[in-house]
Amino acid sequence: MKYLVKNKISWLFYLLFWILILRVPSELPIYTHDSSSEALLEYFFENNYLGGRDFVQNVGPLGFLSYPDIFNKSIFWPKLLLLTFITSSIALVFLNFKRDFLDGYYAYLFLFFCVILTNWDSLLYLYFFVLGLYIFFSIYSNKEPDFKTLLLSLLSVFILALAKSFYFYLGLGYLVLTLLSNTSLRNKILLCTITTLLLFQGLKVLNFTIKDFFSLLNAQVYFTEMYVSNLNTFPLGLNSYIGLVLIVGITLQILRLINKTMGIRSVVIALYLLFVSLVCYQHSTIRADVHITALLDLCIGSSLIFLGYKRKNNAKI
Amino acid sequence: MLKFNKIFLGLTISFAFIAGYGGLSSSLILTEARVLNTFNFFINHREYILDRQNRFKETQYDVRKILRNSIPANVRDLGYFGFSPYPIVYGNFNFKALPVFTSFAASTPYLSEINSRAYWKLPDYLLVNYVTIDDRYIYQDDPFQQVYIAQNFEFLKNTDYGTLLIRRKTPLNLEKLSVDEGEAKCKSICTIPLDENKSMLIKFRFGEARFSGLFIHPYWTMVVTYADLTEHAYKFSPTSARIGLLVNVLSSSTMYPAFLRAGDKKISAIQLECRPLISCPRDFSYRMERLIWK
Repeated sequence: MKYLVKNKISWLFYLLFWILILRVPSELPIYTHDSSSEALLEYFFENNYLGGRDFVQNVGPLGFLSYPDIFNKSIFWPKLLLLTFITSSIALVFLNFKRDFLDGYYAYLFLFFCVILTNWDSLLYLYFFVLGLYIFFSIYSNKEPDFKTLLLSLLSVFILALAKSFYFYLGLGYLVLTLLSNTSLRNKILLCTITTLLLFQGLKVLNFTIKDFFSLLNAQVYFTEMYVSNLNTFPLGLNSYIGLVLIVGITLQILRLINKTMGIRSVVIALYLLFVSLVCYQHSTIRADVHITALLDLCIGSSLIFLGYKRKNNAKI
Repeated sequence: MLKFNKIFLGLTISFAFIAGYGGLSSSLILTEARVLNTFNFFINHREYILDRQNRFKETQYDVRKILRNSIPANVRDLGYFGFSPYPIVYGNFNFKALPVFTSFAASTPYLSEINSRAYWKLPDYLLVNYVTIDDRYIYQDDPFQQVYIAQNFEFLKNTDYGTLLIRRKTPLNLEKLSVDEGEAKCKSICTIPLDENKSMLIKFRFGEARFSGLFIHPYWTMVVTYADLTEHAYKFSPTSARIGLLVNVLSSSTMYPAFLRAGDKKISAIQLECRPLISCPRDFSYRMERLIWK
């Protein structure tokens, strides 16, 4: 009985957390550059223009998922369902991560911080970061990560990979990490097979060839060149400098994870986390508006995680 | 390490405040609005969706009503050059887009070339809107497309959402008169010599940067001095400068309106300023092509 009550409470907590981070479209169609670009991505999808094939942007065939708002009624339910799936995976990963590896008031502060994140990109970058740390801490504490959590997170990551090409690279990195995790060989084979099959099936449904996909990745590489360094977010044009301080800070936090006991695995995970941070840095300094908040949010989130990490057995992290 | 994390957390939060992040209170207000919106959706999703659809229709109706007065009724396929293509989406036209569909985004030679391979896709009608983001210089946005538009389209009428152009029966012949190459070694301010009475396309090749541009991006400003001695500082993108920069030194032009807006003033000088010095290139060279209309 006690178990059932506890279980119910945790499910209720999960439901509440998921509702709090869920993005149901709230923006109304207005005449602004951002909203019209977002509406255009839905228009393109509806009219079979696919990112990377028919138009070149930093988004993929499911580019409309890069924004939580919905403008077009024909896309309303599919988009809401995909967003629901992604946010429920995020909620599951964050809560399992908190349960297994975080402790004290910093753990609750971290969850509270995730709830009040207003920028959708910030939530996603933090998600990729937490996924890396989830694998790291599970290896470090000699725990087997929950298979359902791994599977759901991989699926959500590969849906995101079709939304933005940077997420594709991050998704590949995460797939490598799951192969390094403490889960059994059978589970690893299952994870790889299911996600690869679903990814290829998804591309087939979208009528998107592998060649198109590589052209998308190629375009993204060139897109990273697109910076203007218009530095008006911070006074005196300090965006890049502040960004530099933040990236150095988070790098120091990540480098601390490299340790002898975990050997090469800790290096790979640290490289993945650095990659997430660099992608987030690039995203944050590409424009001088709300973009910078992604890196600020990632740094606040990572600090709360490291402060809230359960320190057992003389752990030095 | 705990101490480091605490200091880093404090530092990041202070940066967030300096950046005008809005602090906890505004985050809470936005979160509250988002959560109320979610509950509203779950409690009465039919009304919620209907309300959104009605509002979308209203917006679409407004745009179409305005466009209907200025765009001929037979126009269904519409191309667009500009910063924000909402009239096409909300106005219910068939948007015949180039691959890089917003002008400012075609900001590298590669992306500009992708567009140039698809110029043939442009329909007979084109809506152009010479507005760009971040206070950039509009003639830096995909300059080859602007040249193509000037050659192949002519003015039809002005609308509330930009200028409507129609395809010319015979494209204008454009000749590159001469190519000048120059080199400048400058510390922070470079002056580009301008030739009187010619429209020009200038391409820049930037020298070795002092510091990797990946982390501290050099901050470029382009100061344009007009004939009446007024000045305007624009943001200057070094990556798109590798494609080119259209400079029209003519005070009035037969190329209007696709090339030069009415009221554009004659340009007498251009200066580029780069800072901080640590990340600026040591030198750069430029190549000027003079474009003459026949």
